[in-house]
Amino acid sequence: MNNNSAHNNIDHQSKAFFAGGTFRWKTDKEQVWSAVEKAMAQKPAGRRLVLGMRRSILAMAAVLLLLIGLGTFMRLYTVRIDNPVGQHLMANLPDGSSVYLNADSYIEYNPYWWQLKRQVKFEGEALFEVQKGKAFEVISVNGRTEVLGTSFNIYARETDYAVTCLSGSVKVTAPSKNSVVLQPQSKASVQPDGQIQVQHKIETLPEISWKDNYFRFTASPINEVFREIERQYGITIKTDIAKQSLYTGSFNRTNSIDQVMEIVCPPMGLSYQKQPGGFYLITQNNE
Amino acid sequence: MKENLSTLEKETFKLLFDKYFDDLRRYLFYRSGNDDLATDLAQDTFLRIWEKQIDVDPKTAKGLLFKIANDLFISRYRKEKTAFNFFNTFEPNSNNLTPEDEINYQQLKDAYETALKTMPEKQRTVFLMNRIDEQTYKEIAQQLDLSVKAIEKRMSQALDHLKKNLKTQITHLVLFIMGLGFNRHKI
Repeated sequence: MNNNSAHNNIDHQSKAFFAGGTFRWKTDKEQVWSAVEKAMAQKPAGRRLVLGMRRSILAMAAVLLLLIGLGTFMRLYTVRIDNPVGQHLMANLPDGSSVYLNADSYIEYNPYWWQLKRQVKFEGEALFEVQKGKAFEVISVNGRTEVLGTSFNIYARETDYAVTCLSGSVKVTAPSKNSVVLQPQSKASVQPDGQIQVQHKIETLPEISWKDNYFRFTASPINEVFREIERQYGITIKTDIAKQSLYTGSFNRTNSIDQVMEIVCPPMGLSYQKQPGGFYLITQNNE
Repeated sequence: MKENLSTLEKETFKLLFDKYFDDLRRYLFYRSGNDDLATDLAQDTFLRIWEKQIDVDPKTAKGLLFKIANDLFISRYRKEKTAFNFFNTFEPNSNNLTPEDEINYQQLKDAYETALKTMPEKQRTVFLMNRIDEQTYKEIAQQLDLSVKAIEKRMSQALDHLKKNLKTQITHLVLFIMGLGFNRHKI
């Protein structure tokens, strides 16, 4: 009750106190208007509008520059997947395509440019499983392979370049610009003279058996076999073999290196010697 | 064609100024309790409309002015510390007062000055728009882009604030005057 009446008292009092009061401004309205008029003359109407347009052009330029910068970044940003010796690695590409990398191989691609161009730089050996879509291109020093959507194996080491097509069709181009379109179950090898040799109706399983740790050789130069062993086990093999012999046989990567040496060397009349630091010395048996 | 549409004519602008300058300046004064600041900001608000050549629709002109003034106020007032001197500029009409209040006019003014100064800015603005400009809650709500409920709430908070702050001062005052009378008796 008391509270309420106090409230009412203030209400009444403040009404009486404030209503009908007068303002004594230091500057009256007319003076303010003449100041405004003066300022209007200094900043004529529309000037700001032009500045605003200039500003919007600047903003547009800034946005454009930003887009160019972003585009350049997206174009140039590169991912490199390096697979060292002694390892196998499965790499996934942005569109779900996958690359199964053999030891001592790498791929390089632009993930943010992938939508526009599916292009991979590659050296080594790998099995590609490519999702359907735009052209997919694999570029190596010794050849180029283009596909639409398929799976294929590329062997691109040193001067060798060989592509085995498993499904779909692929186009292989040699540095000499010679090119060939491969159908499934065929293999193209780029020859040192720039010609492409094609083998049809081959058995493709051995070509990709490396993926399952199985390495098979048919009349391969023995040095090539030793290079593969070096890659798979991350060791260094020194040989002093005079004559170049051809090897036919296989080894499995799940075996130990000594087991593999035991499989490869004796039939070829070779003996091996383990040395410290991951070195193996291969010598010809004296007959 | 386009020029005519977007160009603010000087005559139109002057009409706008004549119509709304006082309201705007008083509003800024209620918020800040500072004559110079209120005048400067009201002037700058109009200049901004002129410089930007804002195509003013008479229906929304007042709201737009208040909005610009509000933005200017926030960006400037918060930076500067301005003195609150309400009764330097505003002179109440002492004829309205009760005889007792009239006697203690100066003390009452001092008490209100302190109470208004400590009152939260939002409450003070609403309170003074209602008491001095004698605007209805609905009018204030429209002007400040708030609900009538919000205005009612602020108004009631403002009265509570005054009740708390004036009572102590006025009690002191009454005691002081009584004391004065008592002393006189003694003499």
